[in-house]
Amino acid sequence: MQETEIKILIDKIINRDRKAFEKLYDDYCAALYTLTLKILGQQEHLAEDALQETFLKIWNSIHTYNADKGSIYTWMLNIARNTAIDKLRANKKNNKNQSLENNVITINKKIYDTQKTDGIGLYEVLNTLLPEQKILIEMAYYQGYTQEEIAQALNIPLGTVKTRMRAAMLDLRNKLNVSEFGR
Amino acid sequence: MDVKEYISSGILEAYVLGACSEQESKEVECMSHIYPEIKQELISLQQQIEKFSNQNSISPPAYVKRNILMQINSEKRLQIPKLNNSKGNYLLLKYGMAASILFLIVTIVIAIYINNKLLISENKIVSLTAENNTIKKENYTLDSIIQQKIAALNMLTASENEIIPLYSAQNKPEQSEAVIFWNKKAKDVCLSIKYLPAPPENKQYQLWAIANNTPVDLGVFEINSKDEIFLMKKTDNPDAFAITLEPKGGSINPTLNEMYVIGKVDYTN
Repeated sequence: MQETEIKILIDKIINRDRKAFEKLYDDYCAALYTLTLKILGQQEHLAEDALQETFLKIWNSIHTYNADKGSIYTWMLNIARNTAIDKLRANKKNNKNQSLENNVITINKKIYDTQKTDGIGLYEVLNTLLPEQKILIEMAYYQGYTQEEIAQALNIPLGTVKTRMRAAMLDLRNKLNVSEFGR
Repeated sequence: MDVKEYISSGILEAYVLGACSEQESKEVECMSHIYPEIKQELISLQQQIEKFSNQNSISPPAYVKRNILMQINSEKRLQIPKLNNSKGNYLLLKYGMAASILFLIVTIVIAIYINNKLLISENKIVSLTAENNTIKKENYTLDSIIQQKIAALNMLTASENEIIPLYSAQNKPEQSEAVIFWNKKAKDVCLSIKYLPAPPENKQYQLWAIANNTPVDLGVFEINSKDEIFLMKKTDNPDAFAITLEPKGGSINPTLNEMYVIGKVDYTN
């Protein structure tokens, strides 16, 4: 969708146009669901609940979206991500206590299991990163760790976390540009 | 502050990956707002993440959409986020004001209408008062006429009154006629004109009593309306009464050829 189209759609949703909201859902639900699913370790029932919550949050707080801070897509991704991570943490609390490292490994395993062989997946790209870089991205983005928390969990200096994260992002960007990913 | 240094510090990457502390996040947003270069870098990074998210995306099951739509439809239809509530309040204010102004206009129109009616009423009162005054005057006049009539009636009926008709004299209009009421006791003389031709401007009628062949002036009178009764001078023993037309103000002696009416007193009763 073009920028102006998106703006019109958002205005309609602010004015409680349900049809406009449906369109937003149709266009973005897959991307948000995929992220949600990844964060929740492919647990579908949890992911479906989280996705529902995500879109209800979007509906109820659409008027707080500030175009100055970024695109509506990023805004929605962040809502989806936060909702999913909250559900992950809540779910973890209900389950037996697992060590942090175990969680990371488990999730890694799960992520690998869902690799697609056809087409180009994010994880192919992630996999091309250096392991120490990849884990930072995973922990930060998919598990909601702050840099401080990562430094603590992996027992490495905060500065190292910062530089590695930057390098990882740069690497990803380059690889994405090269391999012509995109919509 | 060195923008390049800030960008290469990696804080922006941490921000888009959600790995910043709250403090750092606020800092990034602030910097991005001030420095367009930083904002540009930030947007670029966000777009990377967006691209990631588009890879091999899996669609959620259809019932999720149904649930979401059901949920938002069950909300009160009027639930509008804060932004639009102010719009609603503004609308309410607009309608409120419009209603107030309308009310004011209607009130003014009614006031003008009532005032008009009031003015008309006042005018009516003025004209009615004038009419009333006129009627009062007429009443006075009628009262005096009634008094005269009563007096005339009294005279006619009073026993001591001698009624002496005066008939037209020679060479004078035949219709000329008058009546004298002479009170034998009090010697009062009342004159009632039945008919006398209207006198010229410079002339006036004069009444005489004739006693011992000598005319005695009993006064002049002015004919204004019909059936007037004049109280004239007294006379003791008249033989006759006569009316002549004299110059205005009367004469010492009567102009005999200007005698219009004359009547003898009958002493035989």
